[in-house]
Amino acid sequence: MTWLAWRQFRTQALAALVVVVAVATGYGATGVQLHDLAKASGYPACITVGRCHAFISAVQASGRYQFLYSAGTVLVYGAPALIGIFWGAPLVARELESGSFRLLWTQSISRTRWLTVKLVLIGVAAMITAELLTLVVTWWCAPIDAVGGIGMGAYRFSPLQFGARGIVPLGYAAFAVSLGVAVGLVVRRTLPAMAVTFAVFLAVQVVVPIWIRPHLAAPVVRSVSITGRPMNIQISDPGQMLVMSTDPPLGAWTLSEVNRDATGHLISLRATDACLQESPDACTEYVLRLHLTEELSYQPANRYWPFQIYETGIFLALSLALAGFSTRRVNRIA
Amino acid sequence: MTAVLETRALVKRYRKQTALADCTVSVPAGRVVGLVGPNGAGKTTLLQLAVGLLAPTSGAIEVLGRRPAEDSEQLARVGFVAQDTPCLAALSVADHLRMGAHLNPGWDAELGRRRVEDLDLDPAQRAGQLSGGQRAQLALTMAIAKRPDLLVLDEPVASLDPLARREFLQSLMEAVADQQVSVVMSSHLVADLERVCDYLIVLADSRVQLTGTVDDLLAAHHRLTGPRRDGSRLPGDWQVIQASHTERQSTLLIRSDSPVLDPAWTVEPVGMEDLVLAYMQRGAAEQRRRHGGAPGPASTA
Repeated sequence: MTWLAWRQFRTQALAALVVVVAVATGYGATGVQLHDLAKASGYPACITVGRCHAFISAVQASGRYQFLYSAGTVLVYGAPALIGIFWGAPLVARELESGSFRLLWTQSISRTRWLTVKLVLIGVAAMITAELLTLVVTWWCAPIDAVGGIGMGAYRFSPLQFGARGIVPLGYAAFAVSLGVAVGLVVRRTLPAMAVTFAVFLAVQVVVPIWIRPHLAAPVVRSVSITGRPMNIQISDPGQMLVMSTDPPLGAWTLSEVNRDATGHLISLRATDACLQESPDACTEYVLRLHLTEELSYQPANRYWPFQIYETGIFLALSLALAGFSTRRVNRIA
Repeated sequence: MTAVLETRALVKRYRKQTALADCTVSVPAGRVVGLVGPNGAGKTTLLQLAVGLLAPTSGAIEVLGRRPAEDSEQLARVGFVAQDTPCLAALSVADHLRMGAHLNPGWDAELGRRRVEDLDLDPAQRAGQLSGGQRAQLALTMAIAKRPDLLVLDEPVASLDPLARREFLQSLMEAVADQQVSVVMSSHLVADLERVCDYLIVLADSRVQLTGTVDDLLAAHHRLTGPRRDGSRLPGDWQVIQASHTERQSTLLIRSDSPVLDPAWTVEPVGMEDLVLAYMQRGAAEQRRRHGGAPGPASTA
């Protein structure tokens, strides 16, 4: 069975290899330059003192680095999705649609074995492909991630970056294959199966960082009374404002920032004329009179790897559950 | 003789539609069985049940004494050529043989290679580019080189031109002669079955209408022509399958194990095609009666 699974997969495997080699070459060459540039700008020593502006400005000045930085994230998110659509969904759907399952499932081999071999081969290939791409991109982006992105506070723990670094994409890839196969078995037609796989995968990729990942561990809450300068006053559109006197810890994932009043109640501050029209000093004076507390809720930077492992584990468990479903289903289908 | 295919009160229902109703047959080993019936009669359903591609709604089915597709050993004993003879379009002819060798413990590589050679198939050609006749031959090769005890073929020649059809049946008969394999083959073309089958199952209206060896069935059926006579005035051991009356004359197709001695009747033998058509018409009439005079719903097997 391994022979057949490989025979039907080798073209896709070759395509994946070509992509990985191309990406590794492109990012390898530019990555060396980027790391040199970082070193020349005082990286990594500049991180601890929080003065990596020279490096950030240098990256900001280069359209190529900015493009590669964004493209790397897109690439690592895109790979598992494409794998689910083009490897997972057609795996069984194609055989069901063309009728060739009647040839395959009447050979002297159980359907369970047939599916298991295919799932393992393609699942492992998917994980390797996604992880190789991720390793390259993670390495390339490391100095930019360490300094909080290109002036936007985007560390590797930030929601968007987190899913495109480390090991989680490996879990996404395994999940995408299992999902595609399961959808293919239910939908039984290739194109609709590809579309449904994409839609479900996308939904999971949105739901997990917003509703699941923040709760993988209880966040750390830091409360500080606002007693003096320096103050960071953010005024949002509908005339609301948020007052913070300290920065979030380096590399942490900020979940929420709120203000409480002197009695400890959550307070939604209205931006007054003092802050909207008068001088910064007038605004500061107005805010200080309120005796506010700032409350920051966050996941500290040292939870990055535990979170990577939890989330990868969740996606691998989901993959196994879907594979179990598919195995039961393939034996019942007719 | 043991049965290669045995069913008891076998029923297969899809959501609302009954594809096979109360099917009880026993097919002895060493036969070439023709399964015949109109489109939608349940032929494909019965054959897919026999190879384990479908599971019965109720009733029992045993193939070579065991549940279809129960394990890989049972799968190895049954060769199957599905309707429209599906192949893996992206794989070459040689790849198909290699696949057969990898997936079947009893694979006869020499037989497979020789058949591909004899059939003038290009081993390097992709199965997706083969003609219908070539694809059917490749599918048959896959099923035969497995060295099965039972070969199940579902309308293998339906989409072939007359020449390809003849060649296919010929190579099937050669394989049967060489390997002593039992065959169950469906078709709605009686002429094709007439050439190769020695056992007949007529399926119509999701029910078995007739089953037996071709010789016995032909010997037991007679076409009678004589002066007009009512059904009630016929001997009790006659089973009237088909009757047509003009003002003066009756033409009957009857089943009777004893010879017809009444000199009033002109007795003629019945051909296989007429026999099958008579039973199929009877099945269609029953179906119309059950559905309150309306023609039966178009159904797919």
